[in-house]
Amino acid sequence: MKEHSALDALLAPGGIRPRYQPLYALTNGDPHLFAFECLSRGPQGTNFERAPVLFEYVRLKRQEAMVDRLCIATALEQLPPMPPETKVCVNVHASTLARDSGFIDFLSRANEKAGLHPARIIVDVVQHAPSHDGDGFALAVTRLRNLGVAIALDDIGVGASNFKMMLDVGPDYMKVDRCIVNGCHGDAKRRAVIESLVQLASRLHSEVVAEGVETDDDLVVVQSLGVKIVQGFLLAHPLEGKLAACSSSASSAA
Amino acid sequence: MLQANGRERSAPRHRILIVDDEELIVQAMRKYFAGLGYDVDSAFELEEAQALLGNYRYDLVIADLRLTGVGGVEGLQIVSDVRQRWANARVILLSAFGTPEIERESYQRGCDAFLHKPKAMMEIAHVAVNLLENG
Repeated sequence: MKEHSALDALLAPGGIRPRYQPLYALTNGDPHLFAFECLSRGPQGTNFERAPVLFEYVRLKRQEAMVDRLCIATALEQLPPMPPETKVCVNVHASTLARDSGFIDFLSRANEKAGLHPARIIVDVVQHAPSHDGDGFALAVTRLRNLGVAIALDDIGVGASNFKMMLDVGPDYMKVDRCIVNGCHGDAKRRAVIESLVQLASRLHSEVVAEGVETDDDLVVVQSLGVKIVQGFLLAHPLEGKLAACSSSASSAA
Repeated sequence: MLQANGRERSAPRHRILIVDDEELIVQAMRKYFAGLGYDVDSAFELEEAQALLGNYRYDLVIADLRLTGVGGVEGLQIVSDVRQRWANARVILLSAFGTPEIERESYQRGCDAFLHKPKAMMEIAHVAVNLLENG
């Protein structure tokens, strides 16, 4: 029998390996570096190298809060050097915001330790449970606003994302899932969804981020539809800290 | 790609998930089925298996009935999870502790084969390949 559970391996030192994927702004000509999203991979050689499997497992174990904290702490500790205007996105489950009453204080301390002004942080809310109507979630959103961080809603268009969450959170950014974006150049329905989300975001004083941009054709299309921030393998894969540092210095030199 | 009987197999690669808390058994089965030309994933506990089932489509799942301490019947949950997702996926349960009642319940949940341990790898492979190739 295996002596330690997979969760033990995740929580052990080095169990979570941070990766940093750039987001690019499309304003003022060529794409330029806007932010790094902090991503996490589990131990090498395990199923948890694959992020969707890692986080599905964590949710099934009901350990979102503990693992969210660990992922953020690890990512911010190993944050690569980057231009001072570059923002940093950290992922947080909606359930963590709802249930972990100490999370905002933790985030504040982690930011401070990393030397990041709160205005540079974007808290990317991962929506996986059907609803977060409780007081805890609303209070956490208010405290995030008071802290001065921006809020993004992740996974727009799939899973548990919904309009009520948009109303409750009033997100600064709406990250449209790659399954909507990918292949949009050849699919009128996908283009219609993206166009409507851009219009909706504009009415809600939010900004659409197109995830999963993997081809030049899709990039041209999302730009023509009014998307101003993009992310995807066409522009950059998730990078280890050292490579992300090279990427950001190249971007700022360009 | 080779079948268990050594013949060439030209069909698309099937994806198999092996679930067992015994690391040596998992390693041996992974090696064996990968050698037959299948894509193989493995998991040691229920939630790890469920996380894989939530992200990938498997043609065959081979699971041990007991994944935790004494009295566990997590394999039954895996049978249900597979059957809820895919009507035509195949499921084999392995058990050293299976009672007739549990065996009956496994079939009620949609298990395709319930094998009593110990079983030689060749015997498990024979059942697995037969289920995959002939339904």
